[in-house]
Amino acid sequence: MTLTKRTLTILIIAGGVALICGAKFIGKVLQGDDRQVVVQAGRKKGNPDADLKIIEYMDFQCGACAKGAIIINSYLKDNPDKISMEMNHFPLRFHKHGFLSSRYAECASRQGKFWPYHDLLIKRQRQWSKLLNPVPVFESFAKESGIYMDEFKMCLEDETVDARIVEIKAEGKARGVKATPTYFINGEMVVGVKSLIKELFEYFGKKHESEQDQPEEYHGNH
Amino acid sequence: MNKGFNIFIFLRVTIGGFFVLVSVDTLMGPFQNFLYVVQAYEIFPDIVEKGVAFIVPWVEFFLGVFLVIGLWTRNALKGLLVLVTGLIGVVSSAIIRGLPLDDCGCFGELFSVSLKGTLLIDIALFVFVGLMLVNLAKTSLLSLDQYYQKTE
Repeated sequence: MTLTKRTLTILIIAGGVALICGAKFIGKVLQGDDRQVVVQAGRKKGNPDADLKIIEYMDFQCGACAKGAIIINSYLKDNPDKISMEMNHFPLRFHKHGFLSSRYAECASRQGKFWPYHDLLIKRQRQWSKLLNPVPVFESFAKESGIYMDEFKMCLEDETVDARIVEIKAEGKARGVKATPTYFINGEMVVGVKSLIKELFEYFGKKHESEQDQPEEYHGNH
Repeated sequence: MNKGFNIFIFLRVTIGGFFVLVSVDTLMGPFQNFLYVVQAYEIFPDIVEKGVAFIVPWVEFFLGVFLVIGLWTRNALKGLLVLVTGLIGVVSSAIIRGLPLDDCGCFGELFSVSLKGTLLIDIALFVFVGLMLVNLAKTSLLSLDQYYQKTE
């Protein structure tokens, strides 16, 4: 029996749709939603019992991540009891300082200074992201955040810090994260600032002034 | 029949395979990832973005499949020509508007080519697809179209 061209076309289209959808469904079932990595308390803020839970995967060198973080910070400032926030590292390979900035931030978290350090990295992203060597800037941020430098420098040489960042990123990849910033808002995946704004607007019913905010321009010497 | 190496069959299978691989990666991943890419170009109205993000990977997938097996080759090539022309337009517009797409992280790590690099790849695809369309008889060798032509 020979299939007609039209019948074969229909079979290919139906088979293709079934194959992709089936593989996607099986992948989801096998993967489940078990989170293996225990998030360090230092990378969490807001009210842990809040109804709105945001889990963020970001790269400190990504412009959209900085914008998203500034927006979330503003909502958190106005609604500290309504949001639970958790940040996870997802440094992208092609961002030269992405991993390094995550290492500095992770070491800051070991002294309970993650969020002040995070905020400096984000707000002054333009100060360091294009530099060949951002280390002096990262160290100045550490001093500004009140970090003990001796302990900090020892931490920066600790290989377990890098391993931790790699582990967090791998966990993100397993959840389907590919691009930055990616958020899980009450378990729903939201990718990019435009979708984040839409979700926050739907939840709070109003746009926030900071939605036009950008990381600060820098006119310093670095 | 030409028994030597046929570059057009090679192009047909390679380019078709390329579209299949890229689209399968998109279709298997979360929909939101590709929606972010569409949004990043800032070219479609909000209401259209989701539709474009849903349809484009499926179109790429089936055009790629039909090209590889050589079924409806002429139509698949015409479809790819339209698709690639659209991509060239979208990427060129992003370059002209100076969108910071190279820096945004929207493409993740799989495809970290600059916008200008992306434009060059799209132009190359346009040229290859055009060449296959012009040389359709050679492109359709060892294809299902050829099989059906013989049996009709």
